[in-house]
Amino acid sequence: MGNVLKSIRLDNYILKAYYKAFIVVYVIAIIIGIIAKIPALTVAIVVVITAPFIGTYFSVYEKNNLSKLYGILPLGKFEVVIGRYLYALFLSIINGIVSGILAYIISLFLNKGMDRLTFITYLSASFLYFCLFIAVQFPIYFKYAFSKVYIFSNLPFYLVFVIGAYILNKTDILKSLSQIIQYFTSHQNMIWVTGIGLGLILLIISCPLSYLIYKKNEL
Amino acid sequence: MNNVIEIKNLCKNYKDFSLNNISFSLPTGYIMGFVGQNGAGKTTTIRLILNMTDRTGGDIKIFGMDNIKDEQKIKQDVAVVFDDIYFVKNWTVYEVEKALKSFYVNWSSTLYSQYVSSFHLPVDKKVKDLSHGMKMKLMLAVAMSHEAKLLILDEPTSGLDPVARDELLEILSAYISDGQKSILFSTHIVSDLEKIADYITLIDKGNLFYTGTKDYLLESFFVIKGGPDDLTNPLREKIIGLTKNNTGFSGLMPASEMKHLSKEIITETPSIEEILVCISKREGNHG
Amino acid sequence: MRIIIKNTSKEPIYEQIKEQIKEAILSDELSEGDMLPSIRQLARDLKISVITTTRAYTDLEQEGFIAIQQGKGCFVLPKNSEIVHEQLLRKIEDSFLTAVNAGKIAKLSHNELINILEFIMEENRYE
Repeated sequence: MGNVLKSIRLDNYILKAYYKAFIVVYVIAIIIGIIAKIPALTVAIVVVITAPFIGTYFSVYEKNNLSKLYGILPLGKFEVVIGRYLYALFLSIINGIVSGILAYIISLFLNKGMDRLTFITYLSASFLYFCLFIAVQFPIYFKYAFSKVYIFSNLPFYLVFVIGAYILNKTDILKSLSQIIQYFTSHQNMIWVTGIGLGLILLIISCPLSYLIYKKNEL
Repeated sequence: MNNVIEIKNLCKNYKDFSLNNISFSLPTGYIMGFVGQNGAGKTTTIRLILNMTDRTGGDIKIFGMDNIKDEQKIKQDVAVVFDDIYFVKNWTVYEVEKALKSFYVNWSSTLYSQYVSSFHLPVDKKVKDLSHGMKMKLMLAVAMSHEAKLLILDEPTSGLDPVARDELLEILSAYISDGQKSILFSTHIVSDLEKIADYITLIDKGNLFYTGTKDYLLESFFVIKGGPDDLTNPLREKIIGLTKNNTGFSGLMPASEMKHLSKEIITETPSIEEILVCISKREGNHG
Repeated sequence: MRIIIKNTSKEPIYEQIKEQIKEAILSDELSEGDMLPSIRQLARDLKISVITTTRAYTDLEQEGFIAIQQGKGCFVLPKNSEIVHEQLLRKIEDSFLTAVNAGKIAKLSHNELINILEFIMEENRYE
């Protein structure tokens, strides 16, 4: 376990210089939250953007010859991989908490109170999206150089928006969707369970896959 | 005999290159020069030692332990200096220590600050703003702060000016002076090794040419030079890496073949560089 | 003690070290019991291979000039008069040989060569 913690700490040091980018993210997320009068949107934006942010780790890795560093350190490959997933998870949780507090303050500011359902929905959905993003990207980045695949690995997520827009234009699909929505409105706790559970399952599937890929890779 | 490195029949096949049956060992407390032209397989061998790539065959023991099975234990006591730095370029010299020290059981912050100040490294400067020589010293400072028992240098001098190269040799001489630490020094700039190396391992196009003490290598060969008429056919066959022109010829010859040379032929003790050049020129050298 | 390594010299480095330490002992610059730098210290100071200094020291030990003690270091042995005498004789022979060879090239006669020797001996008040 010690080495996994060290691996997480190292990831933190490697990305430290880039954390200031979150100031911009937070400012934008707060402004959008206020304008849209949906404080939960702030949380969603921050959590969603955390995912591609973690992708920059692999860009830093490539630009700084870190394969050599990892080749030298007394650190197993499994510890590296699991450390990276945990690091991603921690970062999203911390961002979720910080932006959640901000959202609460915004709601006080807007004199609106936090709508529990909206909050849960936005948070769960953004977390699920975050996990999907990580689960798809990490195995790709463990395999290929960041600069070669980064546009390609982002494509699925552009598709998510295209498909989303398509669905919203089709009333028949929306009808069947409304059943699901109804289910979730009456079982609000299931929103948590589905979003977070599904997200974690995606990560748990993706992690060993990344390990197998990374193990075979030459550093 | 106590060997830090023991490599037996190491093989690695790539599509366009293969490392064949490399064997050598480095006794504790000495410096081994690992010599060969670019592309001879030096870096591949080092990557295999560090288990950064899988070997096709053979055996590597470091401190008497298998380099794959006991990889993490071994790496506690191994440090590497590459020709380009592998720390995050945004880190300051100070942050390099913070990021790395927890990985090493033997890390000493006192030693790190000692080395940083004796190497004149500015603590607040970022890695990317350091000169080539300073980057190398920073890697050395990290290596020495966890008192690595085996220091591996992969072409550390290729971008360095003569002053920095001399400083490096001084640092290395001091580092092994307690007799407990050993150095594998890979380079194609052989003049660096001419004095300081105890052992030489010479590889050429993926094949081992020589491994043993430097003195024995230099005693085993002679450079011979002569006029155009001195080059008889039987002589021609014995010369390694013959160079011929209108005024004469020169080449390398095993010491065992030196007995029947005519008096007109001049013989000289070779430098490692001359040996390297001649063997890479020899005929029938496949690869 | 001074040891200077000439890179241009044809003599191998271990030989140069050996000769210079010997000189120092014969000329009483180093005397019995004096400590020499350790093998590794000398290698470090001269920035040369440990094997080279080891060879120089073991040769000196074999010739009876110094003793190497594990962990304690190396020190100068009492000058063995026989060895010293032997060494000096060899040196004299070598120097004469050089002179004779030069004489051959200059085509000096037997007597002319002897005369030069006598002249030098007189100059230096050789008894």
